[in-house]
Amino acid sequence: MANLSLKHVYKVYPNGTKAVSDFTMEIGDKEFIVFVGPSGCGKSTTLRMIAGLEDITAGEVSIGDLIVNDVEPKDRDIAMVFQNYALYPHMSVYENMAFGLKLRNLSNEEIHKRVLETAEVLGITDYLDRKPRAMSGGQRQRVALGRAIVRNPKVFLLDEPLSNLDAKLRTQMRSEISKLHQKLGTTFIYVTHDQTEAMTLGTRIVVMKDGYIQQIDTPRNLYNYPDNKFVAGFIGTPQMNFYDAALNRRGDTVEICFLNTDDKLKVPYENFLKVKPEYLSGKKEIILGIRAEKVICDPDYIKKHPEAVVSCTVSHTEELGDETLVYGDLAGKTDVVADTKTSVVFKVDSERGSEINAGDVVKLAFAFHSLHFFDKETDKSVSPRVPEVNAFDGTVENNVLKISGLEFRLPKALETADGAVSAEIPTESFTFTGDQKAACIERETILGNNLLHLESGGRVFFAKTDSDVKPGELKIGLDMKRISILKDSKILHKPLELKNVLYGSVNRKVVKKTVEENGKTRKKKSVEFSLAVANGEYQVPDEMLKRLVTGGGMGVFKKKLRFEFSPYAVRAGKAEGPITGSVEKTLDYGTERFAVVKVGDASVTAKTDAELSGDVRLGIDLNSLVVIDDKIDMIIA
Amino acid sequence: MSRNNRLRSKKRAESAANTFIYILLILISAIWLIPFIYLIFQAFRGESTGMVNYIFPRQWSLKNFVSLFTKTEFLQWFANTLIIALVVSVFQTIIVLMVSYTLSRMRFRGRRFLMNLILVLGMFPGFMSMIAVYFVLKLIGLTQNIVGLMLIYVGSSGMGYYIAKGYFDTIPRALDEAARIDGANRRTVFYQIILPMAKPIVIYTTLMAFMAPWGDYMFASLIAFGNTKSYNVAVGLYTFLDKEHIVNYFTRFCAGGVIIAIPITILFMLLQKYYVAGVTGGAVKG
Amino acid sequence: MVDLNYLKMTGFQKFRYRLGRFFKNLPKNTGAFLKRIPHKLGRGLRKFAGIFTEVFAVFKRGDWKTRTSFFAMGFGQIARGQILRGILYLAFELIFIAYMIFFGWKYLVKLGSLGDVALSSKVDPETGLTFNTYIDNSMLILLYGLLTVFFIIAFIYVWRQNCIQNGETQKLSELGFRLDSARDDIRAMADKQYHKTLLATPLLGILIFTVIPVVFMVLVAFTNYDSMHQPPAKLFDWVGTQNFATMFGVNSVATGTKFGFTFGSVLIWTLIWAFFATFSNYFLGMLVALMINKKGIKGKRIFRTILVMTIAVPQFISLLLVSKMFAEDGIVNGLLLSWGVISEKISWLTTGGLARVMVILINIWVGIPYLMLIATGILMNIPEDLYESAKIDGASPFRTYMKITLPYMLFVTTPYLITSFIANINNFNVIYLLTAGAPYTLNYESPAGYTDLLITWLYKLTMTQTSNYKMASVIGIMVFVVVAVFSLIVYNRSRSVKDEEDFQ
Repeated sequence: MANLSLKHVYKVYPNGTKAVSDFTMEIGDKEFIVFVGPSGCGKSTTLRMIAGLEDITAGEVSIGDLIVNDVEPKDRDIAMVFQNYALYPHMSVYENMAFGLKLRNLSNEEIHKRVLETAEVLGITDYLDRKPRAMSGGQRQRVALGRAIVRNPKVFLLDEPLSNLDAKLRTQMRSEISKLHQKLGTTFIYVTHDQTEAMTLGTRIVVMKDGYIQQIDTPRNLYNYPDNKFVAGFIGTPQMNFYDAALNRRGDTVEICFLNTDDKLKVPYENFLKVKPEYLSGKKEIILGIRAEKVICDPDYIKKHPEAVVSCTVSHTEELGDETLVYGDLAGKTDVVADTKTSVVFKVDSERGSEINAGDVVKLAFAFHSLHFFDKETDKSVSPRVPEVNAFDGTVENNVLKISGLEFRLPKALETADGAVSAEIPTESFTFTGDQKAACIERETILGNNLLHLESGGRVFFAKTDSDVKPGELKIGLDMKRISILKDSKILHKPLELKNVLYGSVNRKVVKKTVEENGKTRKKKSVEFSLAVANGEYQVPDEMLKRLVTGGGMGVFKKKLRFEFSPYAVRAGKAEGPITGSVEKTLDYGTERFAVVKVGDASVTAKTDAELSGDVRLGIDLNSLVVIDDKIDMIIA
Repeated sequence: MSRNNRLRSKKRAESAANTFIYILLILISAIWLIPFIYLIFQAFRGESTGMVNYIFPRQWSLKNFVSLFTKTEFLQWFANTLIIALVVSVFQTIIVLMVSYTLSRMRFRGRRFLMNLILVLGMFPGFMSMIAVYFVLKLIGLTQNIVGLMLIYVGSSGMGYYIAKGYFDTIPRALDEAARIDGANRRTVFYQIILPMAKPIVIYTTLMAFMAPWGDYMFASLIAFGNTKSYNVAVGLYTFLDKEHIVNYFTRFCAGGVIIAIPITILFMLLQKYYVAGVTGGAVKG
Repeated sequence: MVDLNYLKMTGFQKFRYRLGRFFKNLPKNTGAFLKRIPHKLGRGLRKFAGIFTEVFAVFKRGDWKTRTSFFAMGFGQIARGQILRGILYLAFELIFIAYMIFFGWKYLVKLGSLGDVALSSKVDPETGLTFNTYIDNSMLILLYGLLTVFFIIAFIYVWRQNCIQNGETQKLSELGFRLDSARDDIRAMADKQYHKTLLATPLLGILIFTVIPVVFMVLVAFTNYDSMHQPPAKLFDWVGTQNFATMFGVNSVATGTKFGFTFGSVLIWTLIWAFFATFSNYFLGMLVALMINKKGIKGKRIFRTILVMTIAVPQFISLLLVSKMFAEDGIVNGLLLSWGVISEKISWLTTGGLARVMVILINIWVGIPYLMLIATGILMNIPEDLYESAKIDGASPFRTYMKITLPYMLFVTTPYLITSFIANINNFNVIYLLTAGAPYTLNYESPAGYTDLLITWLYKLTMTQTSNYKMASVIGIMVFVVVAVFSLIVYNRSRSVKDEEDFQ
């Protein structure tokens, strides 16, 4: 059972600014969650929505089992620590801590007991009769913590509580908060812009930017496996080195060509297995990222890997005590004060560091296993920890796809002419009940999923599964709906469309019905609500209607709505439902059959049992509809 | 040492400047104080009751004070003004606090409109509306007594919210939010959190409200017109100085002035730091 | 783009450049401004019309409960279980109807004519005494008629609220949501709707004591209510803009031109007075504060206390006293004569130009202590590092004052200056208590005098035998216009100034 859950939470201001978009997260009991990101990324806003200090524009927030969207802050069983402590200045410390309890009508003895206990834990018993202005920043912060603790809430919310303290005090309070969390065992949600605080305190960290979640993961995983360039650059001090580059695969090695210097690195292909194949053609620009400690200055290592070496002109060094940070430039531009596109920073131990002077030219190697690659335009990582797709080169013979020593029979929907093809097979599309064999050489467990490294035909590929599969010889099969087949870079077969999109609205009608009552026929006027999806009309179940109005507001009746649903949520047949369309084509995947039905301008892929053609009707399972406000792109239900 | 010479001449220039300033300041202080010294002297002057050509009394006596209380309605006027001041200071403070807190803390539809409306209304001279109010009060029968005057002062006092609102704006909103999370509703926040913190501005508002009726001539003369028993001290003392009275009443005027000036001055001196805090709008941390 | 050429210019060149640009852009800016007016007007009209279209839409969509509520307010609320709300609305409607029938209707009807017959006199044949029966009272008609108009407006507003609310609750109940009960409403009074709870009484007070009276007086400006047309014996009538014509001297009647001249002169003097009064106090007060605050001056507290004491003494005492001191047979003349400085008495406060100068000087005496207090408070708050940085840069005391102290002070006290200027336009006490507006001159329409401000003239027109309420109202409106114009100008300019400077 999750302690706190946020589902598709949006915050949109009346002037149209989207402060928080599609925030979805489950927070478990006893976790220490940190929201981190630059100013204006929406972290404080999200925290305040959890607290109830801001209205939730769309989405659901639940604490425990209770949906708290409309619940007042005081009834949500939460406590909050503010950045400026927000202590009541005219009350003593004791009264500050007792205030909330008094409002809840606890007995004086109970209040006294709790306040004393908490004061004991925080070490502020001696200050109980003082006023806030007679105390230092650190003491005030403790009182603010005490005021929250004494309430015994389900969730602790902390909004940048350490920002106003000096550096030393900050470090000290950080460990105190950590210890407090251990002792109390309550869920903590902590907001900060300081990534060091985030990394040291959090069990899981939510990195946010411009209102969107960038990545949710443990500190270690965020550090080692950033999902995009922003997270990579945000987490970790000093900041990751970034370089514009392009990757070119030549057989067993991949060439990394820097765009702003003439350097080229040659790295064995085995380090690039998880990289999407299109990035290895040399045609797409990527951003190469490498952390300071993975830039190696050691002469022995450099001698061993001469093909992966660049030269750097040192501009200055920073002495840290046990190690030294060296700053330089790969293209020799050391007279410009600001950072250039070829700046580099790396770490050496202090002994070596004392030997390096400004102006020296040193040779550096990049550690192969620690390279990160990001798409230049989208900033997303192109070597994800859990790859999405495997790319194969193979052939088709008699409608049998032969790739890497594996043979798969193509279903009717994927009938292909004989010849050389390339196939893109998503990692999720492998099943383990087929008749092909592959060796599982490794298993990684990432965020609850298993990533299997499979080997066949001399090459390694990946499969994602949540079933518990042990390494060894495995029987594998392929979910044909998910694969793409290309010939000469042209797509012959696409994977099955899993997201159908239709437009419509929700309407209110006044209907006159003739009703039989007590033997007399009467005309009764009643109000009915209907859901118009494309050209069909459904009667809206009450639950769904309430959800729509809660999420979309009273004005939802005037909005253009977008409905998204999977093919499994819709059935096609002669009399399945109110939506009419005509069949464009049917896709027979052997075990399953789908029909692509043209409805107005859109195409809907629907599951079907029989072979269909001509005009059909579609029926949609309303409970699995995702309803989106089309104008502002916000999920309503 | 030329450096020492330079230092010394700089110091000399500075002390010359300082001396000049001292002279100016002493002159200014004298000019400011003279009228009040004059007032006090005239109040204690024993001989004659009109204006004379010299400052120092030849005879010191208290008879002006005595005749002020026995032969005029001064005591009535003083009592009137005192009652008015007390009542008005209480109610005006309450109303001003209510309005300024609401406009400062709460956001509601029509808030901007209300603030602009009050701004525009304030551009009309206050006296203009008083004429109409006078007619109404006459109909009800509340003219020529102090109740009518009190109603006027208190009635539209909500328009003077500006300074108090500025003060409330400086109280951080995080306090409201912390209290709401602790479980307080808006009313509790107002009474238990914000008001105790607003002591300086409460005192300022009360002080200003208390002091105003003592010096108001314009409204008091309008409402009290015709009934000398309902005059306040300003209107009453003014009559002492008109052509028919001044010969006999000048010294009594001065005596009256002294009697009023003393308590007000003491009150103001005690609370002057609140006055400064209010006028500078909390820019002075005080 | 960074305009490096502009940055290179000297102060004067910059000024010339900006001036040139202002004039160059003037046609474009005025065009844009004029284009915006109809746009804004259109928006205003649409919003206004929107009020009615909203209500109409609710009616169209409404069920029988809602529609009945259009006629019997509160019906829908009661029918849906919100008894408290319904009863309150219904009661309001009944009260309004009763009011209109028994009271309001009479006066509303007569509003256009302001009464036909003031009184009818009957002579009792036996005793020979005249009995007067009062019939129409123009003042009461205007007053109560106005009250009725306001009541009607309030009723329309409440009625609209009722209809809209019905529409909303209808929607909610259709969708199956729970409606607010009476308990919810009462609880909300202390929380979500607390602003209404707090504002109710003050706003009522403002409505009764400011809004309605001001509107009443504005209306009087369009009548001929004066000593010759005074109810209950006489009626007064609407005269359109005749009073304004008189005020601006447009009337060809002899008194008309005098009025116009008087008005112009009084207005000019009011503005001059306000300007000098405000700025003389401001700069001199600042100067005194600087002198006292200067390092090396001892006895700061003593000097400040002396000056502050003068604030404490009620202003009217000080002013009356000083006015008598400078009277013809006052102490100042007496002493100067006895010292031989002058040979005959000077009419300080009763000679045209001299009176005006004296008034300004005495006002300085009254006002400097206030300004000194404020200036001291602000001066103490100027961050020290601004001065230290200037000292390191090598600025002389004069330059420091001009470039640091003065701008900072101006920035902080701009709102105060504005309010002070506007307050001085209406500074009744200083003028009236010192000179009562004297000296009088035949050039002016009586009872205006040489030192009269618009406000004191207004007072005189009301309180003296002339009882010239109509002209008093016109003056009041004029004061409003003057103040409004100044407020707008300064408000807009100080806004843009605030955007440019950054003192934080």
